[in-house]
Amino acid sequence: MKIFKYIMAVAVMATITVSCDNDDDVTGGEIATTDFSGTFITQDQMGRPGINTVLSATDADENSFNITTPAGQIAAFSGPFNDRLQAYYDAYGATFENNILGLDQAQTTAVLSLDVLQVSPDAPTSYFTDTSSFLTGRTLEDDVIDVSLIVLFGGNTGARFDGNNGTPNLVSDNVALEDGVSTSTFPYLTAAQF
Amino acid sequence: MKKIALWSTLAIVAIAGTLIAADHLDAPNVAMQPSDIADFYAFEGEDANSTTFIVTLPAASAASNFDENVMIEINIDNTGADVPGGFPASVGVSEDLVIQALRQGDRMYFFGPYAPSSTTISSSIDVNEAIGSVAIGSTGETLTGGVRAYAGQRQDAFFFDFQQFNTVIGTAPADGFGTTGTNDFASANVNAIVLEVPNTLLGTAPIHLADQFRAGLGAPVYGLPNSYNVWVETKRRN
Repeated sequence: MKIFKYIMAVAVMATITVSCDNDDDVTGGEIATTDFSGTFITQDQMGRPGINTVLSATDADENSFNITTPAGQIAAFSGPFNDRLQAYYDAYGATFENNILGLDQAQTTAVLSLDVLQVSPDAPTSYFTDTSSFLTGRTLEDDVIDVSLIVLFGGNTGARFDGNNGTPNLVSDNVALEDGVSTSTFPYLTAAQF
Repeated sequence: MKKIALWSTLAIVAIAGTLIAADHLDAPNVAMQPSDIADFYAFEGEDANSTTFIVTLPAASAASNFDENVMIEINIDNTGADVPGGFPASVGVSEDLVIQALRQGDRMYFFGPYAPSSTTISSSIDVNEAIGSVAIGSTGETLTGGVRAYAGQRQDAFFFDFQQFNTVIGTAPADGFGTTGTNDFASANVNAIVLEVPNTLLGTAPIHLADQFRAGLGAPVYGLPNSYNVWVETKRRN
């Protein structure tokens, strides 16, 4: 059913696209018709990458998190996120150790449940470089998944559960930025390739 | 009929593509819809006196585009917690300013930054706050207030071994992520808006939220630089 709806949506979009192209051919210029009226209601939101994916346990939680304004996120989600993190540790028969930012388990999930990204206007940007430079924004190059894993599973050195000494590797997914997908000049992302 | 059959085929390809494409597929209500946010970036770009925002949405094919009824809203909190040291009991992060973007026809229109009349999940667009528009896919233009803007299709820069992540959380393999990974987003594309906004339009940044949190715990602060708190929403016209 869901797939059928999606197919119909694509078919409709295709028709619209064709129509616009035809109009362009006829008028040779831009269509001036615009409509900015009406009420717009939140469907999705994000601040930091991967938070909802990693820490929401159920579809209902994921949907609810996307329409909860930041002011209400800690109250509603720090508890469920804490349970989810506990479940990850339980699966490996381990317990949380204070992390590289000096936060315990409940503090960590409280911080992460407030899903806003900090960005500093007056300092170099780093999602996390070391314990003196972090949370000043997110660049295209920042390895945000590894940082998240380190905060959640890295313990106070950041290297707990790093795959050594018989531990599972829970602090890196072993992938890096692809070559050629970002640049240092506006608009920073490179041309699409289909 | 032939057309529907063709697009059905493309849609199936698109769905297969989307499953490994940009969004972290974070919620079934929006997965594979044009309101599904893939990623959000905020950083100091070319101009040290500006802040750059990038919002990406999955683009499963060259034909995909921004939805004309899905407004992209970047929210900026420039006041921080209401009660310094009160975090998390009193959080107070709020949308003090918004920057809005909505495609109409072959252009993306931008509004703000401005203080919205509503800070709930329902919003409207104040057309008096318009700062201009850019053609979809153009190389970028400078709008009112010195805001530089781009909208169009780009490669996805996100990287994540999403399948192995699912394996780790699903079955807890003894070696976890192991020693090698596969970037499931290597061939993905996105519909992206890029905005470079002069900091003078964003107000004064508050004390870093993490340091407000530490102060609230009675713990030594990290000493992080003052920072805005930012997030992005997609909002569909009702």
